[in-house]
Amino acid sequence: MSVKLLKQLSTYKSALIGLTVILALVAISVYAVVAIPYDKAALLWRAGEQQWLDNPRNAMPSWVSLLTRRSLPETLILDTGKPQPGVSKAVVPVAGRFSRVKIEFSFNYGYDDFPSELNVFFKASFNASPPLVTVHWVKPNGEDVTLKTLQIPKEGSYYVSNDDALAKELRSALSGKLNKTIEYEVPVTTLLFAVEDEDLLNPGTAKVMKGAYKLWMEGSAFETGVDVDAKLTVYGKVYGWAGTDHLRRDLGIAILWGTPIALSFGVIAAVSIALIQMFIGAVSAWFGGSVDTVTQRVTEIIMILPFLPILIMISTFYKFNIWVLLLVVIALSVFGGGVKNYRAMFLQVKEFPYVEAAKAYGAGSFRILTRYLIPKVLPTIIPSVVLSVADFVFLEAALAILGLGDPLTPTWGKVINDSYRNGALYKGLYYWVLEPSAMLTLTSLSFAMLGFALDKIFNPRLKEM
Amino acid sequence: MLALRVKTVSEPLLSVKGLRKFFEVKKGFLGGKAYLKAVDGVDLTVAKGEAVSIVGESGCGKTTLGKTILRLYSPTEGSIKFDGRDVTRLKPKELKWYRRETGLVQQDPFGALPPFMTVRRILEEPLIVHGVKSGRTERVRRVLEKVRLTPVEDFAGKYPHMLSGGQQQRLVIARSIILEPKMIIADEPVSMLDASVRVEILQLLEELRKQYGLSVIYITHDLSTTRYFSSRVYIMYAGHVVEHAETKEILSKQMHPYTKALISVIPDPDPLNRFVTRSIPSGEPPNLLNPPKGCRFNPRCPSLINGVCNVKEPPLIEVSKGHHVKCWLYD
Amino acid sequence: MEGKQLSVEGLTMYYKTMRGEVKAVDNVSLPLLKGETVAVIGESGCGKSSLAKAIIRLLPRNVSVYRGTVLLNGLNLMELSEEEFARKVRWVKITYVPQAALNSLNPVIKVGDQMIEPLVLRLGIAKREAIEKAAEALTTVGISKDFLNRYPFELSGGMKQRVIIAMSLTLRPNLMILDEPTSSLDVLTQASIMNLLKAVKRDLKVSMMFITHDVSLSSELADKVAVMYAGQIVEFSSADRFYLEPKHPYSQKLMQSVPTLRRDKELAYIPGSPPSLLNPPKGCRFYERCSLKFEKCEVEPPTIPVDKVSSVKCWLYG
Repeated sequence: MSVKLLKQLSTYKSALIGLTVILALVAISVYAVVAIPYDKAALLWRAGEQQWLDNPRNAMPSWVSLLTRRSLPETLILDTGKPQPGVSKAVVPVAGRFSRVKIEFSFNYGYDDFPSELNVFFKASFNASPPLVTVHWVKPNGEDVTLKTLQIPKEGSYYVSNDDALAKELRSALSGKLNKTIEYEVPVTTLLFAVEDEDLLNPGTAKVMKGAYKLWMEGSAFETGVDVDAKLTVYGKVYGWAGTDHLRRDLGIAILWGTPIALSFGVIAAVSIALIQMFIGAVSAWFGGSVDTVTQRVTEIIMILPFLPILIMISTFYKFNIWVLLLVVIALSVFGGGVKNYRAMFLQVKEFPYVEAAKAYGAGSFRILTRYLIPKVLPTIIPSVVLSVADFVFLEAALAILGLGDPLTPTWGKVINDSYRNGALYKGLYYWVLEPSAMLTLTSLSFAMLGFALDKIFNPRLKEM
Repeated sequence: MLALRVKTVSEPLLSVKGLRKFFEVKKGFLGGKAYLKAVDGVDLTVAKGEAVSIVGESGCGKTTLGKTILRLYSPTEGSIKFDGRDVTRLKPKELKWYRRETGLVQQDPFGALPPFMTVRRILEEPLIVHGVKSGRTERVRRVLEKVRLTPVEDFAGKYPHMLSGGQQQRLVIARSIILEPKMIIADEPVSMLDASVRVEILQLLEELRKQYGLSVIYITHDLSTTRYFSSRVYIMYAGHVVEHAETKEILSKQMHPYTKALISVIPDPDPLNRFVTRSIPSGEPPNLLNPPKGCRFNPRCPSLINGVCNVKEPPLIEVSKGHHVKCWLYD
Repeated sequence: MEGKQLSVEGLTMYYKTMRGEVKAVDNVSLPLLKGETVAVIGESGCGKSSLAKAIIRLLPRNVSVYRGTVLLNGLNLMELSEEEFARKVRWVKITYVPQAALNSLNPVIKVGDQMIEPLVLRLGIAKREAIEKAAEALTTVGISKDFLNRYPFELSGGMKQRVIIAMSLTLRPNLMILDEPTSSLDVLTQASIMNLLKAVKRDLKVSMMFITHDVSLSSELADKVAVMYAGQIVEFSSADRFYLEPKHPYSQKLMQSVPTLRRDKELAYIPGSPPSLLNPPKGCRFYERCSLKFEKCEVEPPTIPVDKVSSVKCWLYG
């Protein structure tokens, strides 16, 4: 029977497309679960900024570079703790307790756009006196700029791109060079990386000076046994295949992990609600009388209750995680409209001659319900179950967007919620909204296409010849 | 509680006396009950191994009568005795043995078969329900051979929609006899089948009857088949049995005006039929919610005795041996 | 009987399904004289309903082959455009009463309004005139004019069927095609409808094609009999001869399977079932189930005339 079904299904192109996409989504889910086990994913997602410090904030996906004609910068990390070409560090003891500290970072910068941030992280081991260094910046044209003189903390950072004093200084120096006043607040990253010509006067036209850059620091340590480690992070504007969010988290994790969550939420909700409703409808229809009356009145009352407001109400008192949310959704939906549909179907089916025949050879109510009525009705509910998966996937997302969902689990809806809360569209961070939306749309569409094709198969009246 | 079996040699297998089955119908929104008097006082007997027909038009109550006899409905009044035991008031749990002793063959062969079960499964169901644990495969095979759905291996795995109408009905018959019942009620068993297949089914039932001493009650609207397949005929009209006699007797010497009308309008294949305008009693069968006073046929009867037929219900009068008529004309 | 009312020659109609092409009507030829009734007898799936629909051009959406000649009083209907056919022939010259027609009455529209609808909307007849015609038609079938203002649920099954027949008589068609007009009715009601059709035939001189599976019933109206099997007409005969002496082995077996009320006979049945119209066998289509078959039957027999009126599609007569 299922071979026949597949054959019939294959005549509908929409069903094939839908099925293919669903299988792809399942594959993605399997990959997500295998590659990043749930615990790890949850941990990553809920971890604070420390976890994500190496990522740029609100970075676009790397492939955007392919679409724009400009190459967008990726994050560049040079760490004294990890020996690489272009990194050199020396802590050389000099007379007494003093040591000379010199750290150099050299790199090539060939992108068309400026970095988003520039940061130097420090880790030093000392007792009481922190080492003192002066940080310099060398541009490809040889120009050396002193950035700042600072004390190296045991653990901390010199947030170069946030250094307002430095910004003012560089700006006035630039004004002097160009003999013109600069109308806007040029950011540090631009000042450090730009070609110093008239183009700098307008924010959009500033050009990047491509070539070899160096950030070096020299200074002294005042104790013995002092060690210093530094990490230069030139934050890019793109990251990974999905970009990052406001907390620098790799959106890829959320998109990937959103898949199994969405699919399981949708499928579990759709299937369990349909099965329970079907059972309630069957019992109501078969036993009739007072059982039927009571069940129907209860169903009607619950149907009238507003689903979403109640959910909102509950969630303002209790914050729940996504699986409890699933349970609540199921519990609220079980006495829904489907009960009436299924009851109508069972009322019809129980009058079929073969049911009467079963009574005539002595089959009991339970047997008739489970072996004769339900198997007849079950195939016809399959299309609506498939279609309702799409509904539940969207429901979960909608709840998340309203802020009702699980704040700690990486789901598509949560990503959209974050993007909304952080003004993504206002800031032009379209990818942040489009990626989860595309996934939602794709999932719903595929289930809808499959569902409609199944509907045409199981409902012969809709069949096209 | 099982009644004591009191059996004499000549006692019929099935004995129905004064059977009434009314259906409650709600009239209007504020209630008030009305009763649809589907079966209103029927006596019927079937001997062991006998084939009996109940003939009537749709709405006359013959199907309700059959289902009430099988206890698919509960009788409103009257008594049903089967094999010496009174089954009239037994509760569903107490009727399990009765379900084993009786079988039902329905009108719609395809509707009577669960479309999602294989032939083998369909036949095993009654066995499973009655707790037959071993030897099921053998019994299924034997019964399939009996109804000539062979080779058995070919048919056992098929689904109902893969069978022709005639094959489906043979499967229904197989299912009805697999528990080795004593009586079968066949409700219009061939009316949905093609003409050339009908005789095959009816002959099969006849064969089974002879072989197993089965009693068969045929419910039908087709008087013509009764000639060949039943020894006695009950004519029903509007919930009453208006005439019953041996088949040959009824077909040659009808007494009741309704039976006479019925016989006169049924055509045999005859080219002269097209020149004959038949006389037909006017009107329609009565509404069983409010049947006419007296004899239920009286508004349409060409031999109406005013003041009698439309006032008092006629009794069942024995006109000759075994031939009873419910009509004032024979008082 | 005067000239030919209807002459069908080589009418063929196939339609496509997911499992293949169904050869529902396969090269059917049929004459019908004026005022005459031809009964088309056959069992389920033989194509008799498809034949009716092919004549009146109510083709299924998935029709693949539709050819042949249908002459109505000399006019070749197959040559008419769809629009012409709808305007000039359907419901005007030929009417069609499909199976279970009494269920096709709209339960929420008054009987009278339904009767005049095709007249007013399609044929542009003025409403008052249409109502007159409808009233006249109702009287012809023995229903009071009052029923024009009633709803279908107020009528019994027999009365509804009379209304249907009345509707198809309103424009005094040349030919009425009736497909199982009495199938859901009681024996007595059936007899009264047959009486009505006999009266229509006699008084209005309408030619009729009466399609049924009930052999006995067909004798109530038939002047000629056409037996259909697996999409083909296997025998065409005058009624006088057919009911006493059918010629084709299938017709003979069919006649043997009809139980008679008034006389005893040896009943028989035909084992097996008709061939599928998806892939009908080459050669005689009754070959599998025929007890009189011989070698030549593996080639499809032609329609062999037996006398001036009758013909049989069987090698036994070749």
